[in-house]
Amino acid sequence: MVDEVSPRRCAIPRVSSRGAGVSNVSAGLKHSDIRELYDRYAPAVFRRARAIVGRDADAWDVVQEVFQHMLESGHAFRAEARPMTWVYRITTNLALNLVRGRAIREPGATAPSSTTEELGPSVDEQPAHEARDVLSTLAKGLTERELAVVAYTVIDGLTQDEIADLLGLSRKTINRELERIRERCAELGVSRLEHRR
Amino acid sequence: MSAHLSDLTLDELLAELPVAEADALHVRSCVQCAERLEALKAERLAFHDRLDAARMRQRLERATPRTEPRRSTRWVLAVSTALAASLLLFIAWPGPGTRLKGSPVVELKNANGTTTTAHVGESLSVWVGGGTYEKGALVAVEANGHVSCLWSGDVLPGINAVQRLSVTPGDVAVWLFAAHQSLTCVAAEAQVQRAVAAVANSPLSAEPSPVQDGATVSVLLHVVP
Repeated sequence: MVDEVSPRRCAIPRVSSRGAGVSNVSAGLKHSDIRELYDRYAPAVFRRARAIVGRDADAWDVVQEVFQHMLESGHAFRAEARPMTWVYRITTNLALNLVRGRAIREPGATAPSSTTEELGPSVDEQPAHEARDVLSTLAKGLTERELAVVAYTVIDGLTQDEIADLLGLSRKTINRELERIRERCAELGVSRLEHRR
Repeated sequence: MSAHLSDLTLDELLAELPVAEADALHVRSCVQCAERLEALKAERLAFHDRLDAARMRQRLERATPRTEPRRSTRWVLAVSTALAASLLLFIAWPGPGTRLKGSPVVELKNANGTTTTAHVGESLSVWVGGGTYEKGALVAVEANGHVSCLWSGDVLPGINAVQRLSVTPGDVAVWLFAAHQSLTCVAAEAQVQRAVAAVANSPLSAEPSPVQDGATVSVLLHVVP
């Protein structure tokens, strides 16, 4: 017997920065799973990470950490109704952690252009560069969640409903957050808060 | 609300994950979304050609322990695999008159891929391929004889997810009806109900005839309590 279901909402995961090494953790996932997961999700993780952090080397760090989390989560990741939303959340949080760290370490620095050693320019390079400028400017002035909302807005062009679904919040809450963010943007001299594609 | 699909949805399409039927249809009719999908697809292919992408995968694979079965249990696994393959052949082997080339396909998938076994509460998606047919309808038959239509509509090229299901107790057979002309849930359900009535004691063994000049194919899901 079967019931139709809608995707379930999930709380925003808390993630922390780790060392550069890959530790030997893969609860619930087999060696053979890694290749399949990597082939399926890594292109989106890398593209998304590079759109936010701007540098290939940083983007690879994010890819590594995302898969580290995926392996640690094991069956919990497998049970996600929409696994790509989990991937988006984790990638966004880790990439924004890098942006925030950079903003603290290098105040006043502009967002880097993407390095493109092998891949060539991303399909999103120009708009992503503008979006990174916005993120860099706002990195120190917004909370983690507010910054994530900004990333989903200016980089992904997600609707308020989609952002609410990703973050496990109501659309009303996202609407209120966006109002607060716009006020903060005005104070920080960021005039536009819109999708840059 | 944006009229176009988000990258999130396009990434799901490219990763062959289930998406809403409306989104799958939208990308076929919207030039802007189709172009965006193609651009992301090209970037995805380029990614897989990257040396550093391959290196990262190797690094992650090395970090994951290989879980080899113990020697004493290997023969049990080998026999189980052979039995499972025989059973699959028995269930899936087409009957007389079934077209092999361009035949419709129905599959149930969990996060690990195609499956014919699921636990109660597990979330599955139903994937269908129309073969040479453009329309489809899905009907579920439960062990107690209850018949319900899950979906009907256009079948897109390739194999696509059309419905998401939550598994509840009891085995279930899912039948895909494929045809060249529109199929209604009512017509497909009626066809299955006739077949179920003909095998009153074992509804899961019912074999409904195709609707119109179409074809049918099924998958049997064994539900583990």
